[in-house]
Amino acid sequence: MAVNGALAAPSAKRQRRLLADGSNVERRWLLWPPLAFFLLTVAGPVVALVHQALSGEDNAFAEALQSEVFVASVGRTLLLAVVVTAATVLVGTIYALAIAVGPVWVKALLMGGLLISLWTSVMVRTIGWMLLELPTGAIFWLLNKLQLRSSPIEIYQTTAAMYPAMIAVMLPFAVLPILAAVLAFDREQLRAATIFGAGPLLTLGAVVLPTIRQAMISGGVLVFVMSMGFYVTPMLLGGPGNMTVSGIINAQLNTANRADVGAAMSLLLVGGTVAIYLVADRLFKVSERWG
Amino acid sequence: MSIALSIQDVRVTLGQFEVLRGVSLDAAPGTFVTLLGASGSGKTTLLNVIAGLQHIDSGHVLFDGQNVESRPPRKRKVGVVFQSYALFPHMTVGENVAFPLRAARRPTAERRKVVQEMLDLVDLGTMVNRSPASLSGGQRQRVALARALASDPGILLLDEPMAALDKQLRERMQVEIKRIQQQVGITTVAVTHDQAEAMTMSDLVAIMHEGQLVQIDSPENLYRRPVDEYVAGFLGEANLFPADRQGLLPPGTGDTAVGTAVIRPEDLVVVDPAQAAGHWQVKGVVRLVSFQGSRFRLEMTTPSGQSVVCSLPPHTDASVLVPGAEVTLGCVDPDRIHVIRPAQADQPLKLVA
Repeated sequence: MAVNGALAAPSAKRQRRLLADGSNVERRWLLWPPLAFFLLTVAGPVVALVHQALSGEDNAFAEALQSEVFVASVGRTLLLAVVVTAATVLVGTIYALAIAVGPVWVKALLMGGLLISLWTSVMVRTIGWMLLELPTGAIFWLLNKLQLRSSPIEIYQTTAAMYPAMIAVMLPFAVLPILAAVLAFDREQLRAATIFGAGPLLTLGAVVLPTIRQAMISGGVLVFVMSMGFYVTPMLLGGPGNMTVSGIINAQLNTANRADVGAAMSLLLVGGTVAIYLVADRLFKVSERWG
Repeated sequence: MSIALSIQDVRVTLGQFEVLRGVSLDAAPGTFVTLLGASGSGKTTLLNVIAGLQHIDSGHVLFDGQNVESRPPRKRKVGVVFQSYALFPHMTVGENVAFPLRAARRPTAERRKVVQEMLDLVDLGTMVNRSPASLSGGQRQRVALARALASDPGILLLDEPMAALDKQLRERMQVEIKRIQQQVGITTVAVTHDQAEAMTMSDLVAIMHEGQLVQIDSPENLYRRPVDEYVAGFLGEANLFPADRQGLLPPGTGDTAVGTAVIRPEDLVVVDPAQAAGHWQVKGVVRLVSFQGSRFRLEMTTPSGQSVVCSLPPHTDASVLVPGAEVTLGCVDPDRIHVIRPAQADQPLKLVA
């Protein structure tokens, strides 16, 4: 738009407009820092990974795809990402609505909890969950104090143990975009719904949710993409039976000493995630929301 | 279905501030009442009280003689056109209009029929499947009106309905809303701060000032016979002069005044001081003459500093009325002068121009 306008203007005027306008030829050098950053942090490592993957004698990609452990972990990771995404978006929507409509102390509590969680290292939080879930950990201690249980709880290193922790880790990434949409919501529409006779359920289902639907999808895609690379939390809490793709890649690099296969698996994971993102974008127009 | 509205001594306090200070209002079924007042006068609060969106501290709200204070908004059967229209953006025009029926769990066939009826009523019959975002401001307002009327409410509430429209469209929609209101025959309460809008649409105009209703009357009576200086100055241009029980006093003898005479600009004429001797007249210096199509607007300043506005017919020869020229104004028809209630003895007379 700005470029078209500038071209249509007389040349003398164009010169001035170009200088006044930040997005033009004279200022293109401003693009170099982000481009350099991209080359250094994204393009470079990807090229290095491709190089690594092609360094072995055999076709590392074929080897990766033939590995039963890898294929199984891909299925497991996809399932995990889908479940975590669905649960996080559900909890996140309720959380965001509670922040928006709750009394001030609820707002402060929920918002504070969210930010503290966001600012704390994933490792620290995962170890926190570990302490809760150990056979004689905090949950057991509490149940024992309440005289509800006397034998240790066997949830540590099971699938059930890792989901709550993963949802907690991912929650801010779902809540923040949804909260932005909820806060931008026109309150007069709620009054309109009330005036025209809608009960709470119809108001939620027909007025509120459709308005924040796009934000829920954006948050969901974000959580999904991040969940595909989950490593620490499922490894520590889910145990060896719940090895994700990241865990398998780590094993290839550090245990099996097959850096080429590990690199190929990494590229397959990145490529697959990007492919899923592109499909989601086509379906839900996610990128439009992110600018 | 159209109801009689009765509001009895309603008081509302928001925080420390008394927003409504004993408001009473009665409207017969089918009446179009406009609440007119400056911002902060409490008119929107009063509208919310009728809708049930605002809790009242004391007083009563009656629909057809029945107390509705404890009835929640969704049970009051009111239709509201919100200031921002509050159309649901993800629904089509038709779905928006059908919403009140959907909330009332009416069958789909009936919804479709009513939607078509309502959209035909507001001249948008072909727009059922459009999205609100693709409509113009005036069309959105019509959709909001159709939705407000869809569930056959007993009373229609309009909150600053023209605020988002430009001037030309505003005038068209005022006439349009009045037509639809008369066609449906529904009791209507509108809120506005635009006096022309209030006078165009309403059967009754209620002037609100600082949380109270100052005067409720037909537009004509409000203009001709304002109860006080505030109403006189709020509705149209008014020249206020001291008066006693007999009528206008000559300028400069204000100390014996017991009332205020309201002279509208069109009741003043330029006179020859010699010819008009013996009649009431006021001298001054022309400050500004502007041609406004249907009239010349002459503004002059009296020796005491009061500004007086006079309307002259558009074919007047205004060449002598240059700023600075001396001019004498007289009254066309002294019987048309309205004198505001004689001031009480202990209350000093206010002169506002």
